[in-house]
Amino acid sequence: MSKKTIMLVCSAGMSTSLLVTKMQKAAEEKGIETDIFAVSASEADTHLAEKDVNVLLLGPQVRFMKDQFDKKVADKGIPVDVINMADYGTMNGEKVLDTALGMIK
Amino acid sequence: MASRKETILQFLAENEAAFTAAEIAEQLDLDRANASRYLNELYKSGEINKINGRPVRYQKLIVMESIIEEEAFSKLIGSDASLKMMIQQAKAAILYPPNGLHTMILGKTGTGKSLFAECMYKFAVESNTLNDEAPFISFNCADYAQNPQLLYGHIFGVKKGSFTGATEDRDGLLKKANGGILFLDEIHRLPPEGQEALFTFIDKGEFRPLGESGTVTQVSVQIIGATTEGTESLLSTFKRRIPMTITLPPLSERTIEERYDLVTTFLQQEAYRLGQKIVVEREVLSAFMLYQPEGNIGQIQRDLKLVCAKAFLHYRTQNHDHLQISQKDLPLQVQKGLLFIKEAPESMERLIDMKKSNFSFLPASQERILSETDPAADMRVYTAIDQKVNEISQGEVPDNIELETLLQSDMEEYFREYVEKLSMTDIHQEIIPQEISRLTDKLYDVIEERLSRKYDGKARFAFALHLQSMIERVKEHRNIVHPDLNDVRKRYSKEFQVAIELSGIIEEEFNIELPFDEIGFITMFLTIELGETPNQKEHMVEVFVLMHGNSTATSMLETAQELLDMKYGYALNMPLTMEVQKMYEQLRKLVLENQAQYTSGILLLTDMGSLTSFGNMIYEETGIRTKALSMVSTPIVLEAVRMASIGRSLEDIYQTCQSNFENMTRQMIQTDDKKPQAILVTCFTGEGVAAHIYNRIKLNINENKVKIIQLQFLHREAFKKKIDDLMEEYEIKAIVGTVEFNYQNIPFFSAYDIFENEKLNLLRRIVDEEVPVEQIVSSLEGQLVHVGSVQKLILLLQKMVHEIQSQMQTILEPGVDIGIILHLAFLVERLKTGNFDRHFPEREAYQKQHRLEMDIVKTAMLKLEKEYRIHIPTDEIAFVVQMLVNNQMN
Repeated sequence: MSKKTIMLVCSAGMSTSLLVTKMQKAAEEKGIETDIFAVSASEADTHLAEKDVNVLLLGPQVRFMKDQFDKKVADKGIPVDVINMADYGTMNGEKVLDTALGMIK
Repeated sequence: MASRKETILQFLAENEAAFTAAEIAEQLDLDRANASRYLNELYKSGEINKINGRPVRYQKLIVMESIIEEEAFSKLIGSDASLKMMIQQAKAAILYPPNGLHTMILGKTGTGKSLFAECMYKFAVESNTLNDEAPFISFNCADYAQNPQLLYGHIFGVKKGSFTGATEDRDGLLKKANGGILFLDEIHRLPPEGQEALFTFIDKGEFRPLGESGTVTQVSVQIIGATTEGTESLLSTFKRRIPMTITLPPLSERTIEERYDLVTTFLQQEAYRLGQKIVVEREVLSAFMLYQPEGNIGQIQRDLKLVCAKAFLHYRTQNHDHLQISQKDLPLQVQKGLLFIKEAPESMERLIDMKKSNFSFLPASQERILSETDPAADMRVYTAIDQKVNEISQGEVPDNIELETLLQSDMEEYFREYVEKLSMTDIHQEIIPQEISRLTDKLYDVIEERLSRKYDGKARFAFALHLQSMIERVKEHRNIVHPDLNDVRKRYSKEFQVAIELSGIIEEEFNIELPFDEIGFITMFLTIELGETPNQKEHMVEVFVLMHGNSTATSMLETAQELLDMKYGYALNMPLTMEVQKMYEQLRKLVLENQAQYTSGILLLTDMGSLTSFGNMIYEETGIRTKALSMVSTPIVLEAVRMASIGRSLEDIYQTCQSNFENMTRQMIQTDDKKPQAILVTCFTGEGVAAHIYNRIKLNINENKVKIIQLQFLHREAFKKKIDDLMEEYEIKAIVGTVEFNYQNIPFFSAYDIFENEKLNLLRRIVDEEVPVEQIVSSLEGQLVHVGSVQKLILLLQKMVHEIQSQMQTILEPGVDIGIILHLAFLVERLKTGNFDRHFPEREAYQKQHRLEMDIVKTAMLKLEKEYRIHIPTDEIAFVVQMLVNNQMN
């Protein structure tokens, strides 16, 4: 299994960075090789260009950007979704990780 | 001449069929005009039957004795006197081969049309014309008169898809009555298309359900229609199309013996129903036999019921061993009967023993109870009194207070409460049908002219609501007792006169009859002043916000005032350079200057230190009750100002604010044992307005997760108790109802609110599933280290985000609020540790475009800035606005 790259996007990349930490921890426990990182909305484009992102997750507060990202990454075939509010509210890294991995085709 | 008449009689007696005058003239070789005259004479003398139609037919009388020992009609009072001929007609109509004759029963209100129709059915069964299982269906066309389509569908059935909501084929009453009798009361209320369809059925025995264009349905049903004597043209249509017409006599045409039977039978029945002896004074019997009720027998029945209810109240509260009815208990109109005692027929004396002063009715037998649907059989009046008495006597009642008086004053209080609360709440027009609001305006034209008084919109509104439920109540024969009726009549004779005039208008408009008790209630509406909210000012608690810092107090209070959109409360700032003594002097001066206004007390909201001790000092120096809360944050200021401004008591506000504070910590501890959520929906009857509300919110609330409970709201205290009980089982998220009700900090929504999308959304948000605060807090553990209590921050943010949403009148996609809360939590942390510098693209343009939203968010953020002594950059506010604006639902 190759390395999975998961990109989290929120307004400033602050709150999602905590989630990233928790997801990384969960991945380690499961022994899955991942590259998980959080960026602010404005940084997203640069990262998309530089990295080979497998899945893109949005913080609920920037749910409105989903359409925008859907279009942007359509040609790359990257799945995009909004993080479940309960998982986000409780910073449930394991569940968000599972969701993300499930989204990768 | 007599011989020719006899010939005709003989001829008819030998034939089963009915004949026209022309046929008889031909058969017997008579002149047609003469034959017609003889037939008419024979009919008038009761020797033959006449069957209306075109042409009119005549038939021999059906001789009953030969058929059976019948009972159906024999129990009717007057069956051998005033009703004799009508019963003959009715029997003929039933026995007429092959399936009986469709019949119209005419008669003034209260002459017993429904009962008579029931007797006809019973007779049909007794005479084996119908079998035991044959249906008898009774329906009052006035019930759906506002909705002709519904009425038509109810009678003739509905074909799937004929209108929105007709999701399946539905049988009408006609189909259900197949093989039996369909009784249509107030048949004149049928819309023209309904009449036409009914006549088609009468002529051909077939009909089409609503929306059915093809096949016709055929059933065998005998129609009995009833109507009060309406307009001539309408009547002639019915008479022409419906072959048999029976006219029941008004009360004035009944014999005095029948009057006696009626009154004593009713009393006997009440005694039986209550299982208690009823003793009446002779004058009571005389009055009931002689007064002239416009509502005929029905009104005698109601008046007697009312009198019995009063006697029952007395009996229950005074612990008598029987019910006693005296002349003074009688409604005025009944008492007036005694004025006719001189002209009373001699037979009165034979019926009522003049030597006896009291007459007893024992609960021995039930022989005359005829109708199962008899509205007088309704026991609710007694049950209500009973409950009330029990309720009160279980509590502590001082011996020197008379229960009866207590009940009556309770009634008055209930009424006052009813009106005041009603007028405070506003309700959308759609709740009040147009015909009611039109009628209300019409009535107030009369009221204002007669009483030369003005009534405001609130009064009109309260009255309109009352009218609506009153009309429903009367139509459903639900009695309401006004125990203070006589008193009201005496004390407000002028208003009472006007109320009687109004009742006439209402009765005409809705074709109902209003009992005196209802008129009593209307009277009270006219006497209650609903002007400006009186002397509320002096009942309000004053709120002082005292804080350290140059402007902390001012800005906290301003924030609260802005959010509440009101000017209430005082702010006193204490710059760090100011001496405590000086601060105290300022406060003391302010209090002393306005001492007269602070009779309800003062609440001091402070942050810390010596300011907290001001409370006691102020109390000792001025004697004004003063409470102080320390460690106050903006949410508490908000709550205190809100409560004070609506006139809540000092103790109440103090307790609530204190428990709010405790709640913040308690919520932390509370864990998994979550109760199911519920919304309470209330109104006075628990079925009227509440049903409207229920239908509205059930579409917006997931009933699997949130239970919607409909409740009756009669008395405030009783309702509180009910809520307490329910809170054991449910987490009550909101109360929705007609009466403004603040309790246990449960959000209240008026019916008016619920019909506004914005408020409905708020309700929806309140019951939205939330991620528990303690879970959010624990997931952030160790991450936010510069903000003090994380849980306090999250609670503050949560409230703030909710407030912003209300202010912006917006509802966000689920989960967005949590996202924003977390975003802001990290933002506060970041700002506490240093600057956070990022730019919102083209901010200036965005700011202009969203000026209002920017303002709202900025204002809300003030609290956060004060609380955490940070400055939130405008760019960040713009980012938050963007999250709010772009994430709105639809």
